[in-house]
Parts: sequence; C-alpha cells; structure tokens
Amino acid sequence: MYGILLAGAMAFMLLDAVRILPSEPSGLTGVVDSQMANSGVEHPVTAVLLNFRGYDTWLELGVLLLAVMGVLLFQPGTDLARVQPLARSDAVLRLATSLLLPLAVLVAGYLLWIGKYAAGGAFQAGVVLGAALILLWLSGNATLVILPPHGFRLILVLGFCAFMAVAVGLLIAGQGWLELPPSQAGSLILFIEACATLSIAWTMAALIIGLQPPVSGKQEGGP
Amino acid sequence: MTSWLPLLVLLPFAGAVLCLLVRGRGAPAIGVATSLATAALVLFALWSLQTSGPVRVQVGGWGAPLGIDLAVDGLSMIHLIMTAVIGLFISLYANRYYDGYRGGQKDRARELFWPFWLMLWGAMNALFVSADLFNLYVVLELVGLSAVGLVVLTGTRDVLGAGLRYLLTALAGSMCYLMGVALLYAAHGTLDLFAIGALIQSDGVSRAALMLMVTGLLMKTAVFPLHFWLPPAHASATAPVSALLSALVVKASFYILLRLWFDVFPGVTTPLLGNLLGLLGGGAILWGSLQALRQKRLKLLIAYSTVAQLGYLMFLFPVTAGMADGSSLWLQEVSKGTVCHVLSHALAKASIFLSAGLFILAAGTDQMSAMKGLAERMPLTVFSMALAAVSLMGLPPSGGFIAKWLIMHAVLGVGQWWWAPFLVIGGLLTAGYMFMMLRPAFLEPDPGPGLKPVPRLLEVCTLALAMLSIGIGISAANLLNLVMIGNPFSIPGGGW
Repeated sequence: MYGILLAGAMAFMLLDAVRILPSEPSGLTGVVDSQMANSGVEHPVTAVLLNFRGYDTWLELGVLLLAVMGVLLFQPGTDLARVQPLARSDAVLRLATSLLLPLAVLVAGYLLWIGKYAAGGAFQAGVVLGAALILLWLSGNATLVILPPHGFRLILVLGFCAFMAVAVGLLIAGQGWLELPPSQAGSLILFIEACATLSIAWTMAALIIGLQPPVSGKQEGGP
Repeated sequence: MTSWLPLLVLLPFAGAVLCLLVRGRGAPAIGVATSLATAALVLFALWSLQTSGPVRVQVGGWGAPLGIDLAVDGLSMIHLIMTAVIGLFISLYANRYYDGYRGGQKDRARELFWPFWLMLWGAMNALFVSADLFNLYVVLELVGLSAVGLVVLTGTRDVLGAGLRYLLTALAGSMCYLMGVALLYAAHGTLDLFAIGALIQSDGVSRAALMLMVTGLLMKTAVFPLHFWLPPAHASATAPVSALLSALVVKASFYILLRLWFDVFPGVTTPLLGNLLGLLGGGAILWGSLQALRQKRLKLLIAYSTVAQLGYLMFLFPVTAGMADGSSLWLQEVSKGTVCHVLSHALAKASIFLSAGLFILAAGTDQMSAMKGLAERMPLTVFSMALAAVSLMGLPPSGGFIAKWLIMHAVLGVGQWWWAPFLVIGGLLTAGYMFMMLRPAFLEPDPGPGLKPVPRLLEVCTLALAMLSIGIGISAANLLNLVMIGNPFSIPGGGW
C-alpha cells in the first residue's frame, strides 16, 4: 500500500519534471560537431564512444568482462571446457548454418569498418559475430567449448586489454590520459574496435553457452 | 605531475586481467604484488596532493562538457587512502585465508577472488576521482558487479540466494541513479558535476533528479529501510569479502551521495529532505542494533551492526540541508565527523569481519555459542575484536569516539537536539551487542575438539586494522585537515 503511494508520488514528480524540461534539446551536438575534425573518425556516435568519452567505453568493456565472468562462475573451472555440446541437429539447420556463417562474418567485418563513417562499430559487429557463434552452437557444433581455457579467457579480455594497451602506450609516448593524437586516432580506434568486436562476440556467445549444464559426473559440487 | 591519476585505475585493472589469465598459484602472487604497488601509488598520490594541491585532469584532453573530467581533492584522497590501507591488509589476509578455508569450491575461490577484487579496487579508485555523473554510473556498475561476483565466489546455495538479491538491488539502485542523470543532462546539457552544480535551479526537474539519485544511492548504501539485502550478502560471503563489502563498498555509494549533496544539489536540498534522511539514519541505528542483539551467528551480528552504523552517516543531511552560509562552523564539523565515522567504521568493521574469519577457520562454524573459551585459545583474535568493538561503541580515544563527538556537537550546535538521543541510544545498543559477542569468549571452554591453529600473519593483519581504528582517533586532526584540501564541503557553488 505504502509502496503504491510512493510509486505514485515518484511518477507524479517525474511527469512534472518532464513537463518543464526544455523542448529544445540543449545537448552537446554542437560541441561534438565542432571537434569532429580532431576525432579521427567521421561518425559522431563513434567519435563520442571511442574518443570523446572513450574512458567510459573502456569501463563498459570492463562491465561486460565482469558480467561474463560472473556467469562463468557457475561453470566448474569457470571455462566452457566441460559444457556438454548439443546433439547434432537436422540437415536443414546445418545447411542454413553453413550458408549464413560466412555471411555473418562478412557482415560483422563490414559493420566494424563502416563504424568510422556511419552507424556501426564494435558493438554491432560483435553482436552479429556473437549471433553467428551461437548459431554454430545450436546446430550442434562445439564452437567455444573446444577452445583451451587459456585462449578462451584471452579472447574475453582482448577488448578491455586493447584499450588499456593503447592508454599505456600513449602515456609512455608522453600524451595525456587517453589522449589520442588526431593524426593516429583513426587507426587506434580501428585497432581497439577490432579487438573489442572479438571480445564482445565471445562474451555474447559465452553468456548463452555458459548457462548450459556441465557434463554430468565431472561436477565439482556447486549449484 | 598527475601521471599517478590514470595509474590508480590502470594498475589494479592490469593486475586483475593478469590474475584472470594466469592459472593456479600465480594469481595470489600477482594479486598481492598488485596490491602492494597500488598502495604505494596512493601514498605517492597523497604526497603529490599535499605538495601541489587539488588536481583536475581532462581525460582525452577534451575537457567538460565534451569529455570526462577527473578531480581529486581531500575528500577523494581520504577515500583512496582508506581503500588502499584496508585493501592491502585484506589482500595479505586473503592470500593465506583461502588456503585454510573449508567448504564451497575452495580452489576456485582462491583463484577467482583476485580478478574480482582487483577490478573492484580499480573501480573504487575510478569512482573516488570522477567528476562526471555518467562516468560515476559506469563505475558504480563495475563496483556492483565485481562485488556480486565476490559474494557468490564459493557457489554454495545460501550464497547464491544472497548474491542474486544483492545483484537485483544494485541494479535497481543504478537505474534510479541513471534516470536522475538523464534528467540533469536533458536540463543542463552537461554531465560535469561542478558545472551542473553551478547551473542548477530549484525546479521540478532538479527535485525529481535529486529524489531519484538519492533513492538509488541509499539502496546501494543499504540505508534503513533499504538495507534488506545487506545482512544475507555480507554474512554469507567469505570473510575477506565480507570485510571488503562492509568496510568499503557501501562507502563508495555514500561518497557519491556526499558529492551530490555538496557539489550538485546544494541549492535544491530542503530541510524537509534533510530531516527525512536523518530519520532514516535514526531508524537504521535502532533497527540494526536491535536486530544485531537477536543474532546467534557471529557474521550476521556484524552485518546488522553495519546496518546500524551506517545510520550515523545520515545526520549530516539534516544539519546541512538548506544551509545558506557555506562557511558555517557546524557544516564543517558535521562533515568532518561524518568522514571520520566513514574511516573508523571501515577500519573497525574490516578488522572485526577478519576476526570472524579467523574464528571460522579455527572452529569451522560461526555460531557464537562455539566461541566459549576463545579468549584463552586465540587471545590475539579476541583482543582485535575488543579493540574494534571499542571503536564501534565510540569510546575514547578511538576514531569512533571523535566521529560521534563531532556529529553530536554539530547536531546540538544547530539546535537539532532531537537527533542526540539516537546517538546516545545507538552507542548503548552497540555496547550491548558487542558485549554479547565478546561474552562467550571469556567463558570456560567446552570440553571437546580443540580449535585448529590459524596462521599468525592473519592475526597480525586483523590486529593492525583494529589498532588503526583506534589510532585514527589520536591523529584525527591531521587526517581531517587532509580532508579539507580543496574545501570539498562548501556551499554554494562548490567548484574550484
């Protein structure tokens, strides 16, 4: 009862707040436009994500890493080596997979590249690649499960580490904290995004596959 | 020179990644090395702040409002130091603790404690130096997720339930905070804390943002009645994790609350809101203490004590709400008292949870009835517990005494005498549950299986934290002068 009253009061406050918000967006579009030339890319969203507020994006990659590590905590050994692969599926799904898979990889690469000029980038490319990995899994292939634990973890941390490596390299080169020099910003951003794409794809797939029960008999207690 | 600022975040994160990639016994070694390096770095940062004053760094060289700014003043620094000192001792403790730990998935806990803890440390460092509201949101998520990972480390059933409840509360809190950030950005077109503070008007938007952000942060700080997730999470986690959560993690969201109160919303806060928050604090003290008195398990008692002690932090708000004159003596005094309480509670609570861990290692249970004869068999552990209890009760010359004295003085100074009974009764109740906790230790031991010996290093770490919680009472003047670098508690404007 009190909960409903409180929620009602909160909703009223929010409605009141939204009513008096300025109708003209006072955001930072103008500021972003004026600095685009120094960002190394031509699409404002990519510029904000990877350069102007790249620090946030780096930390977000850390959030993704923590999320996937948290899910993998429920696998004994915290990798996928003991996950039971699905049974081989029917011929139609296998054929569809073999047709779609190369296409998905191609699309992911394209999305990664186009991020410099238009909507796209690491997150979109990573999601497409991750979907391809899940499709591969659903059609009965072992995919991520056969990776050695070491390699698997290496790919998961790749994006976060690429950002960190760039940051450290720039500090050693005498630049400020995450200060990309305009002349090299484009290639540095592409490098970070390429690494992040792999990490995001593997993270997405591992979030699905990691929830599968481990092979019975080898379970080391736990949930 | 401000090159230490990025390293505060980079160093623990790099250590975390290495710990993830290295299998087996390597992780603890890297973890301890990273902890030592980070603590040394914070020491250097302290020296740098004292010699050259507050620091402001523009990440990427863009500067607010386009980019993200970082700012370090005395308030940030004292939190960085608190995290470094307590973090270092807990690291040394955890290194040996999981060797002797029984139950749950021991090997996995020993290995995975490190990546999650170092991510948490890096995230907290990032939090204490951030001056950007959205950046603070991202960092809060990092803190929350790594803390949840630490809680569920051993994977037992009660840990999973507590961890899930913690995760859902933390996410709900973050969402509330984020909605407030969105409102402020829509209204002012910047995310910089100090810039918004200079622009803000007391209108519907800022009031709604204030309410949302305060609610979200109160959830994460576990302030009564939003504390429901804390006791199960803090009591069921392993001892080093409980110490980290109770001492440091809840203080991180309280730090943001302080920043918002003094730097973003000084013109928006009202005495009504301040009194409401004070009332929650009073409720926390009474409810948390009474619950602590009813517990049979040691770690649950300590967890409820955290709920109670967090209440003392809330009296800052009624004293300072709507204060027009920023140079007011009482404002400075209550702020210093509150920061002192943050510190002394963190040290005492970390120590007392580590003591509980020692008892669990030795006895294999945390039922207080099994503590009979502990004073004879583990004198050092019981001595640490007693010292920490002195600080929590607020007896002189501990840090807890200085904190409660300053808060009491300020509360009476501004004529809000009605908070004083809460402070007094809180002290008595704390003494009650602390004596209840210590009493069985001095009884005649039951005949039966003895206690397993615990490594001496663990007892030393625990004792060191307990002594520090007393010691900060003696050197409080120096510490509180450090907090005032950059004048973090000033109204209005707040920027520098």
